[in-house]
Amino acid sequence: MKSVRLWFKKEGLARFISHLDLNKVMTLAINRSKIPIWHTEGFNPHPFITFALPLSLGFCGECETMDIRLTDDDFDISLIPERLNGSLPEGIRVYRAAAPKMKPAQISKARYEMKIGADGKSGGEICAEIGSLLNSAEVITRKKTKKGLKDIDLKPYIKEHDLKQDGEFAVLNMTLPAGSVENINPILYLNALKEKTGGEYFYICTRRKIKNENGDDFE
Amino acid sequence: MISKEVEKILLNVQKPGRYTGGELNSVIKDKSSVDVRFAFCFPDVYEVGMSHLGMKILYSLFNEREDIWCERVFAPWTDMEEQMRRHSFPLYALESGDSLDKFDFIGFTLQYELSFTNILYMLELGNIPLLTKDRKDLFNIVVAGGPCACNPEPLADFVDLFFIGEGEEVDLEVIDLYKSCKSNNESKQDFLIKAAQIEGVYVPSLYTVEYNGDGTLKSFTPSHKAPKTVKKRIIKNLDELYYPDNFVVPSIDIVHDRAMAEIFRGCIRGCRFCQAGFLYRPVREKSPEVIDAQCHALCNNTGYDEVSLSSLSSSDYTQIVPLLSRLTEWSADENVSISLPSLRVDGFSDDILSKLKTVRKSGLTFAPEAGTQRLRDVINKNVTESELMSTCSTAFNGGWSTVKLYFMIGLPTETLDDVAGIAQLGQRVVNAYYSAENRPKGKSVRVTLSTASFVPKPFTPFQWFPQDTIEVLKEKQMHLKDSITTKKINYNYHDSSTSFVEAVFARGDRRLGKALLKAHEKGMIFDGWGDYFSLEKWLEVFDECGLDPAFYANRQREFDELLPWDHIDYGIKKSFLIEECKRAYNNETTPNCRQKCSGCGAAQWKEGVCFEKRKTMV
Ligand code: SF4
Repeated sequence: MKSVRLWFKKEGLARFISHLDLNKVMTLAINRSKIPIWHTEGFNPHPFITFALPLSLGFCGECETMDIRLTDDDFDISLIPERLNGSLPEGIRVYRAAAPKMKPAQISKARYEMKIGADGKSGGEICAEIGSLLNSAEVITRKKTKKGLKDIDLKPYIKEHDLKQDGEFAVLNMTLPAGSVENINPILYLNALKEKTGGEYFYICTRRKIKNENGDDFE
Repeated sequence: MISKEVEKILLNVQKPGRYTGGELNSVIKDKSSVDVRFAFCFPDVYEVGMSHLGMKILYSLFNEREDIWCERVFAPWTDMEEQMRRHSFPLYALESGDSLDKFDFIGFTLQYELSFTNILYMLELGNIPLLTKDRKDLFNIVVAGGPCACNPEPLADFVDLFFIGEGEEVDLEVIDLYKSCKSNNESKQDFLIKAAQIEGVYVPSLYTVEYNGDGTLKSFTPSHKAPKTVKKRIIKNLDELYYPDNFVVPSIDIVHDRAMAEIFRGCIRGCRFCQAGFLYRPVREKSPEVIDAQCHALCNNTGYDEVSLSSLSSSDYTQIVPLLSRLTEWSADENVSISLPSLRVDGFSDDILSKLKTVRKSGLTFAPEAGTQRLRDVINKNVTESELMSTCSTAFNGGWSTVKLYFMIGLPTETLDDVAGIAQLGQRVVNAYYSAENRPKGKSVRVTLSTASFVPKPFTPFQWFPQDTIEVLKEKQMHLKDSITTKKINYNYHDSSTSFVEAVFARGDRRLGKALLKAHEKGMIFDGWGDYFSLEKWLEVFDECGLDPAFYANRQREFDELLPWDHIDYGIKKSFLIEECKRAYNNETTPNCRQKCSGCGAAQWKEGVCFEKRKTMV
């Protein structure tokens, strides 16, 4: 039995597939591709798949990973991406297979790109709005926690970020805590912006990197 | 591909995956290289529509043809509706993202009467004029098929053309006719007149209706040489019939997310309340080799690890044992499980049961339908209490401790004693548990009784029967509740007011088109969903249209009354239905098609069970 980590992109319309449904989509693709994947035992055996870090509904991801186990140690894992890609919906593409080096628990941050637009506003105007938000003494919004809604100050988390204009969009790049210990969803910044300006926005948010504490890519 | 603009609004809806398309195996074609674009509309949400086998079959069948591009359209949930209206987005098909008004055909499948308001809702959202007479061109032709097309009259104002019976052949014949009319620059009217000559096609605008003073039908007159009665189409040989080797695989969770194979059409039983049992006569089986190959191909091409074998009553499939042994030859190795949804548990050996998934997963369910033997005889549901008890005992001894029993209330000739009989039957199942020696130790039994309200349907022996009023149905529900004396029995029942509105439309006539239009104006949609159905609003609608819903639902019809669906011919003789109705009122049962032919009329197709050799009965 060997473990394999698969890297895939989730973009375009596929960003509207929820995490739970993604599990199903991958399971069916694996069943179809006849990769010798290890199945769980028991009453209702199913292919064993784990995802390192769930991605929010509506987000794109460029370096998403999932781990599987193969029952055939001699199976050439470089064949996996192509075999799966023929069986995946539009917008999901597997591009790399390798032995896992890190444990998902080592994940500590993620880099996001958030393109923000609004009907009737230019990219420059939105940039100005975001700039003024991030320059405030504190950036308060509400976050869902296990204990219910809680006020949180986003200011301390936004150390590494940059903001630029791209046509009708403002583009905010930021690195935020991610993983099982602490997780800050970039959508919170958009929520804070909405609360501040009272405006309506749309966005395309992409997770570009997943990293460990030292800033190394999750391998 | 759906547009970038739509993507923006998807961020604001609950389940955006319903509206994206792009699923594995969805069919994308170049629109400039096809002749006919067909929007296949299911008047309910994505998760329901995508679970429907008929839609999968026709989608693949149409798309096999190079000159046709068939796409899928579902009813948007209200959060999406709100977004679409706010941003002036028309309803679009999932494959191309094009709005309904770009399609040659807009086809609806009619699965239940309470989805009729959603048809108007979808047409309007898709920028299609609602009324047939307001669509003048040979384009945007609105067609409909499916079981509720058996009484098309309530939709006659909106639908240009109905397919009666099984659609696989007649649909393509109509599409071909359209192509040729189109290339000859013929009018919509020319096309409809010609289409009416095709067997299985009903064009309501070619018929005029007259009424008697008491509101009943006086006459139904065809024009332009349209047939006096429209006969249904059936597929004679199911083995040779096209069946998809691939399904669109939804990326989000749907109601029935698995591979499905049809094992036969029709039903031998002749339960007198069951419309499907009459509409799909005669029983025609598929052979095990064909089903096995189709299941295997489907699993391979979709990745599904569950196949369900679909039919009206699985254990009546004569080849069930050979089929299951073929299937289990590969299914276990490939981690595929087999399920039989409509199972009469009594028909199977334990050996077969252990191979099946349904029983394991969903627990034991039975549908005795009525609480006393007398009433079961009336409805011709040939299940005896001793059969039920012995199966329950076996199951209890085998470790089961929960059973669900399904019943109907409001059946013809039903008395309060029959209703209380449901509770008593439940009690005897409880008792059977405690006398089963090998029952699970230390566990208490749970019996769930579930009742639906009976809705009399066209083409059944009860098509003349007055439905119980909502009040009477409620009384019966309460009576049943009061008759239960143990906590080990749970009782749940369906809301009787939805059954009432269902009954109005099931046996309605053309005048109900007004009511649908009015309901649409009031924004009524998703009536099949408890959260949206409102009896009050419906009563208001009927009132404002000057229609009496009780005339349709609660009135006793006479055998010699002209019924709104009498010009539609499902091959079942009216005299047979009358005979069956009389037998029902005499508590007399009728043997099933395998025991003895009762001469219903379906033998005219010279196929299926009517020509099987019967074992001589002793
Ligand atoms: S003709 Fe006879 S065998 Fe055939 S469907 Fe009717 S009753 Fe059954």
